[in-house]
Amino acid sequence: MVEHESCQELLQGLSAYIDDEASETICREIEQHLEECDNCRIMLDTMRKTISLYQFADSADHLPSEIEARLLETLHIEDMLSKPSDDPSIETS
Amino acid sequence: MDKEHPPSVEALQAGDREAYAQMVELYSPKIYRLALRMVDDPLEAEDVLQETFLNAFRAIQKFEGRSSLSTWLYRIATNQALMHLRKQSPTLFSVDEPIPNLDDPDQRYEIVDWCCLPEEEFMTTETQAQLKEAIQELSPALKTVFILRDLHHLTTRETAQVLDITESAVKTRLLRARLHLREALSSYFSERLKEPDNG
Repeated sequence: MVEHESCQELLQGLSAYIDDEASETICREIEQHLEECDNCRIMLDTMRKTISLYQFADSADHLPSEIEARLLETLHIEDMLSKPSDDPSIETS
Repeated sequence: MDKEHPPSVEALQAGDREAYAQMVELYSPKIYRLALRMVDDPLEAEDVLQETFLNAFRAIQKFEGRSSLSTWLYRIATNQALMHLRKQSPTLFSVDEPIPNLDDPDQRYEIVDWCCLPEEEFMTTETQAQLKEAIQELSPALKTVFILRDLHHLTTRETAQVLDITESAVKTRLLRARLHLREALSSYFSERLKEPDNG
């Protein structure tokens, strides 16, 4: 379990550490803590593994050719470009 | 046709059909993967894909280039996917639901080192189903951030632009999403580790 104050601090900085977005000071503190705390090392390793498993699974999904064909067919509707957008969520940014 | 680089916005706004085709060629696989992961249904994902490009084509004249073309498309696609999710579960849906407090002293985490399991264990149909189930348990707010940041590799800033939230909110949601998914997989794999073959 993550029980100590330093473990809780590590948890807060875990994502930034994984993404290489943590400051040098935070990185040093985390690495020092990881040398002493097996639970937090497991937390870090399993979180990294979780992300990599999802990335691997996601990379296996491809756009099926029949869906691509239907998309291209739909987008060749002649009057498509003259229609004003009816989606209020679209902004100009 | 250049299939690796985005077309110029000027060409798109001038109605250049080759530029449209280039945009579709480049971004449709990504938009489909995003949609599929978000709505978890191939038919609905196809709808999201089509709606995204139809809306993008219609709105390209309003695009001012304050974000990149891909960020703009992701924004349209994400909004479309969220609309589909809202239709799927109208009573349960809230994009802006409160994010649980990370300092909750009662929060306990499963600490089991399952990284040592054989690689083939991670490739089984059952494990893949578990991955799918866990991500679909995430709230739309957390799921969207996880997909954009970890699966589509958008930066924190780009994700914030897509979702119109602060970078700080992106970071908080990403951590919550990762913690939830890690926890779900840890529960699952801890059971697998207890099995004699994985002892």
